[in-house]
Amino acid sequence: MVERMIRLNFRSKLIMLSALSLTFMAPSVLGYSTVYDVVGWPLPDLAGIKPNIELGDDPVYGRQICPPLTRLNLDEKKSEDLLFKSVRQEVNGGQTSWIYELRTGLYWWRGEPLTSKEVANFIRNELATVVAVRSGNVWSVKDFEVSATGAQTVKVQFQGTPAFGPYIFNGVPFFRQIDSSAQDSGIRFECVGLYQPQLAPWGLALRPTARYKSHRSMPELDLYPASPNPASKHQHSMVVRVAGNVTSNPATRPPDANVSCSHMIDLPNLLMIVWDKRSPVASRVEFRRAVTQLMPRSALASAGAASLAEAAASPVPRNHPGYDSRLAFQGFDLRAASLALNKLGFRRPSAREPRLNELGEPLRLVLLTQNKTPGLAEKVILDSFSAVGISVEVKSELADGERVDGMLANFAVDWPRVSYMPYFHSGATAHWPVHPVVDKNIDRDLEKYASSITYAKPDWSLLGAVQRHLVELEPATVILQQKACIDNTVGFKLAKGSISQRNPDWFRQLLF
Amino acid sequence: MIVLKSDAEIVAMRAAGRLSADLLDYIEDFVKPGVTTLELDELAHAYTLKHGGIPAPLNYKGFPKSICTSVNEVVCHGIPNAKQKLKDGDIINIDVTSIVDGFFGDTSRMFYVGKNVSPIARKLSECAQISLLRGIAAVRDGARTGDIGATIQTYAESQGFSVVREFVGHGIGRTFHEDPQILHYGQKGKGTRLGPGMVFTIEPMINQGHWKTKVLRDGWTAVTIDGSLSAQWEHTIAIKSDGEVVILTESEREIAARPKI
Repeated sequence: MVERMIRLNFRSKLIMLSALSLTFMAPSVLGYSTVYDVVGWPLPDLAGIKPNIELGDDPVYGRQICPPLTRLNLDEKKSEDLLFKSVRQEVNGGQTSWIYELRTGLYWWRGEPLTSKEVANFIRNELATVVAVRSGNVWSVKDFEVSATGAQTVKVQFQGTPAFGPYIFNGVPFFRQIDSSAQDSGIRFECVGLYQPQLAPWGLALRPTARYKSHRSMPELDLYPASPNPASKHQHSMVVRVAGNVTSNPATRPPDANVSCSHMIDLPNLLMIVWDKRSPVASRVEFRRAVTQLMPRSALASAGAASLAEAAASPVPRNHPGYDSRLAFQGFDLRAASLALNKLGFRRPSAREPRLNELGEPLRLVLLTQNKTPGLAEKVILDSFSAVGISVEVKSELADGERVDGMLANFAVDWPRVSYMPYFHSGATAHWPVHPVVDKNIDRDLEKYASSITYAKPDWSLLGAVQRHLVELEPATVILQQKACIDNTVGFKLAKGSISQRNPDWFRQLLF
Repeated sequence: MIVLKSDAEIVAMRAAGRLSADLLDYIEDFVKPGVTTLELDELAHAYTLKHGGIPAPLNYKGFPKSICTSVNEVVCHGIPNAKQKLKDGDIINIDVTSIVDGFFGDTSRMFYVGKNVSPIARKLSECAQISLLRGIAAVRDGARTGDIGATIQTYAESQGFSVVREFVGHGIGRTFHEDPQILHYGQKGKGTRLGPGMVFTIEPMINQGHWKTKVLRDGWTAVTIDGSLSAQWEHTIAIKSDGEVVILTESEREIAARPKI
């Protein structure tokens, strides 16, 4: 590409592309007659003394190994009782009680039957943590008692009324801690799932839990990460591709998903720039609104993520029942962005010169990125800023006390809740390198919605209100939502439309 | 400021140059009557990604596509689009730049569309290619950028053509456009002194008529002011520490088809 004779003081930053390819299988060593391989779905971290709080909502292994007590089902648009038969709340004389009735026929991985005392212990030990995590420490819980009031009944009693409801455990993996020597898997907790995980050199094997009646007819599941690349010997396999952080190795880059993928599923991962309220420039809402028009979202989705992503502008993923589709989508429009910046007083003396701030100095931003090597996203975004005369420096690490104007992040949305309370509430204590812009109206809506999803019938319109405020205030400029391609599927009961992010049981329905 | 490259960096830049050269070899087979320039762009885009590169033009200062396709009177920066179908007799310049491991490799060639390309169009294209090769031949440790420009201008004008002034070659490395600027016209002995570690493009644009150009309303497409044909060839050139001059963006196919200069 030729340069114009007129000298441009442009410094292009590099680009790198993203995408992660996954394949491959290895022979089972566990002896079950039917083995299904799942390759490329991100493996869970089972090393801790308890499962990660996200585990219970994972459709591929979470529900199978550590089902939650209750969960949010977006297909049904309600909270569901999984390990419970019923859940109810009673308010009497200033006291609030939750009464949980446990299902029968539930067993720990090693075969012991589940008791109501164990459920009571779990609630007693975990409630405070769950409340803190789900609310970003905005809520807390005290003055409560938990008791097993019958063989199948557990009662939780509060002095007063908590800010949340009895479905606060939606999606939280239910477990008990065990002595690791008691189990040869090396895993230090135990759940009541139909499958028991076994750490394997090549990934993770899920064995049917022996005590359940159906275990003989259930296949074993072997889960493999994207690499290395062992050859499969199994007849049943499912290969998952997700957009990731691929550099220049062609062997690991997937083909364009639009032409190569038969089944796509949306992932609750958003690429976004989270702005820092301490930035003299990014703290201005008009600036953030102007900048959203600098995002070439569609180009990034196709080029940067091999179409394993979709242009997005709302922090609420499009397939969530709380997504408000009436919100306008700001397209890529350099001219409009430029005019908006002019209006803000960030003028550009000429097309060849940098845009200036109020002090007459060149306008410059510093962005933090998670990528050690700047990728295509960084390059394309930098080019867009440069096109309107703003120079951007990208850093992958910060020195102590160093500030940036924003952070380019692959943000894992708390799916299926999509609660931003731990991040954008003024009282939240999320440890981000940036301090997001906050607002009292957003605080109020975040709390209302977060509370709503801890009851049987969430009010999705409350999430719509959160979305409206977040889009208006734009504390984060959302760019893309990632997708996964599920293909090379052999042996699974897979039909078009059978995989849906809203359906928490889609994977299970492929098996049985 | 001129950013000098070590021999190791020049070797690393060869990977980007190689991919760009291979891309042009690949795309040549698709340049036929009826194909749209958008289809060529999509093919080039996919090829670049598949082979571990990144198309540098995409979104560069807002440029919307991964390659430049400049047909007939378009001098440079033609934007691929779905409406532009190539016709028998057209000439097209395809300008590609790939990024590999952080380095840019920039090259372009002319292609004939179909069998009925006019003799004057062929002569113009050959003139641009020979101008480039002669310009490269003028590169050596201690020479001046003016030596390159003068060589190109002298040859092109001797053939009855003119040399575009508004667009120039440029230094290249970890950024797309660096110093020095390489003018394709000028006087011998003038300009920046060339030396080891310098990496730059030479990319003469030769017009059938007047050298002047104008940029269309899209902000990118530059065309000849008089509507006459234009042709361009381009390579990325490096001068190693021992003074050896190497072309980083030439494929075996192109070497085999080099005209005599």
